[in-house]
Amino acid sequence: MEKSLLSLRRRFVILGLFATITVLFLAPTASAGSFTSTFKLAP
Amino acid sequence: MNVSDLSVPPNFFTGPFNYGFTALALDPAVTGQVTINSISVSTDATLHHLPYYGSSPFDWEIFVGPAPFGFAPGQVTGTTVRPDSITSNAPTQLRFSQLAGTSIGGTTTLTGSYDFVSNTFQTNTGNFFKFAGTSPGQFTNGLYTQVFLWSEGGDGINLDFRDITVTVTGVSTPEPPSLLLFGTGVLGILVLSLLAGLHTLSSQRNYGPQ
Repeated sequence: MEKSLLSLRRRFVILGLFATITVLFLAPTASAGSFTSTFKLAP
Repeated sequence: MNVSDLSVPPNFFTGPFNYGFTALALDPAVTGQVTINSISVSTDATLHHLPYYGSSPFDWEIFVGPAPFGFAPGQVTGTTVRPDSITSNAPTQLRFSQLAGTSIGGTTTLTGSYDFVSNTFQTNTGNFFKFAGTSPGQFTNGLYTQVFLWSEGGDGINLDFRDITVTVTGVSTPEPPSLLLFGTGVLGILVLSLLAGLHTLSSQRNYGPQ
């Protein structure tokens, strides 16, 4: 029984880590946008 | 900024040369993973001396990247260092020659652009395309740009440039704040651990003494 509970807890921890990694990879693509930078350059 | 080449024909590329680097410009808002799509430039050029062959060629070099390029801004005067020997390792560069007019004392507005998506190059006067290249990269502090103007036209070619403008377009994917990512991850693990703990308690209750 103890072994089974430990295994379940491990599974949840692994799921948590997986969720974290997913957020890390997906978050940057969520807000891609185009830009226009204009500079007036002094000599 | 003055650009001139006082080489005396039949000798060319000897100088002395006048050329210059513009100020280093920065757009701090462009951060994250950045892809450059196009560069456009414009300037007003006043011709002070026309070489004997009847045109006034000069060169543009536009550098774009995530960090300064190592060139001190300002005018270089009377040097024998050939400007075409000065190179940059900027990840995005546009280099081309353009003709600046034939009327001594006259001012010509010059424009040029390069589209890295369609690989199209345009100028409003005669040109000679040299190089255009870009590679996407991580921009941490913003987008830097700087322009280098020079000529190896010889025979006392003499040009003054003012109102130099550069427009850079592209796509940026900002990095999410590290703290937000870290917090999301920790919160996720905590919630799941809590669920595991509740499940354990529930199991102990079910398997208690009968």
